[in-house]
Amino acid sequence: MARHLSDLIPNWVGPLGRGLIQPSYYIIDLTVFVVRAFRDWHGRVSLLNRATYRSLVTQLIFTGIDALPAITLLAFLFGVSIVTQLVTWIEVFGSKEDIDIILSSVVVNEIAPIMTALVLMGRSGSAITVDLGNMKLHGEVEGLELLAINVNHFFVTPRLIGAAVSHLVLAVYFSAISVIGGLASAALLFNIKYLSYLRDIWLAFDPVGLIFFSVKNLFFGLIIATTACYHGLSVGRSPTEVPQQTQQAIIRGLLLIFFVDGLFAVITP
Amino acid sequence: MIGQERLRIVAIEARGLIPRVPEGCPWQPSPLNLSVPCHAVVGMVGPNGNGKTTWMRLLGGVDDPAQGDLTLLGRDVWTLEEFEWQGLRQEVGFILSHTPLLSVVNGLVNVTLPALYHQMGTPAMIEERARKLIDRLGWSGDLTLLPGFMSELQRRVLALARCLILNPRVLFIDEPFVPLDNAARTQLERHLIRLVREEGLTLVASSHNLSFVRRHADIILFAHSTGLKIFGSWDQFSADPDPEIQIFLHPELPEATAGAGHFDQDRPR
Repeated sequence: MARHLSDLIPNWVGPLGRGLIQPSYYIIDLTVFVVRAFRDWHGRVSLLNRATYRSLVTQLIFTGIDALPAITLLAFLFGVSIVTQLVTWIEVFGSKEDIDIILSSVVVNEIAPIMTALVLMGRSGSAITVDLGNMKLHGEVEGLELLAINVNHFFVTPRLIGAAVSHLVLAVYFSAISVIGGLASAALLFNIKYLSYLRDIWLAFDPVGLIFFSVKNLFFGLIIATTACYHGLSVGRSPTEVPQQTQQAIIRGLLLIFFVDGLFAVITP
Repeated sequence: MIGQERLRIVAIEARGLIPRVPEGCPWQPSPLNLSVPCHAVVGMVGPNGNGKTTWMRLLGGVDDPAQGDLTLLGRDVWTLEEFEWQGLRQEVGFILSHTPLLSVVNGLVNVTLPALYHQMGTPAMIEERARKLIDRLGWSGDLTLLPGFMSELQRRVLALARCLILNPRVLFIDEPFVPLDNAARTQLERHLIRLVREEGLTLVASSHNLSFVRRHADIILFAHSTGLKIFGSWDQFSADPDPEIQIFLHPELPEATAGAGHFDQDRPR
């Protein structure tokens, strides 16, 4: 006979409940983290002083410009291997308009942001977490706080803005290189007429779609930098926490990106 | 009127201050009542493990107390708003012995960073001030190097310069002379004392350098196992019959063993 009401509840209910509640708390934590970062930024006399401006530029160079070779190569190979096949196969079963739609809605709107996010998460996200984690571990963050430097204003906000802007620009760049590379290789291998899609695909975009594309990519960049900064600054006293927080930042960041991508797929007209 | 006069002359005032100590800590502190006037040199001494750093962090307003009140430059530290706390931190410098420089920027940027962040002048003016300050502290070396490529001595001096560039009115410094050779120690000591006697800095230094404390300290704080003991002069401190103080001042050295071992007997003559 059950002594307490709780004895009647099966053992798997607790873990299931925690499994549902913890992600919600995590998302709330991240949201508060972002709000605090921008609140502290907004509260400054000057939004970008010399020190934070330098931090922002460094982030833009590291996340945006330094990632260009990797993005270029990946986008070109993706174009040659996937876009070429897509174009040639769709032409067999569909119309010319179908090719424009597939290129704009699948390659540009879906695959380019996800591929860019994968590269930035692996490259910049992990670097930000390790960087901030080590600074926290070695007392560099506390050293700056004792000089009245706001950590959110100096470390977090420039990284959030830098990663968001870089993600948008790199996603546009990825789309352009993969479409141009794919159509160029199709033209080279099969028929020169495939190059005409380069002119027509831009007509397949509408202003609302472009706005959604921009917002989605800014969100992806924001998610990458937020999870990276949040986990980097969560490092405590032990060096073992740095790799633990780094892998959590990557996995959770990717899960959030796919989740947000799904949401955008539903709400995009 | 009396209150304003008091604000001008009292830099640090502690009433019933007790630090938080972990369970099983070997020393159990009694409440501290202390009043430090502006322009004073306070020397904190005591055996290792008696909580000098804990008291420093508490008096510097870095850590929360278990109980008690602390006033720095007339401001009640525990009731300050976040922006007020940051304002206070610009006036109250705090350097721990292990506080590292920011590892991702070079030596010169480390020193100029706080002044740039707080917009204390144009970048050219700040750089000029930083270079003068660094020269005055007797630093020599390549300022374009990252801190990881500098010696411990160079890093310590730059950490001090980074703090002094904000022109603090009170400076807490933990073991300022530890990694320094005699020449550097004399130069740094002279500079710190000049700041106190000529420019009105209040200095609180935790140090094993008893010579510095004996010659310059207006107030001596001894980290006793029962809390901080306050003395108004070196004579008063050295004459105190407390066994802990006497053992600290006159440690009994173990018997000399040179020449008594096998090494000396087997040594070729």
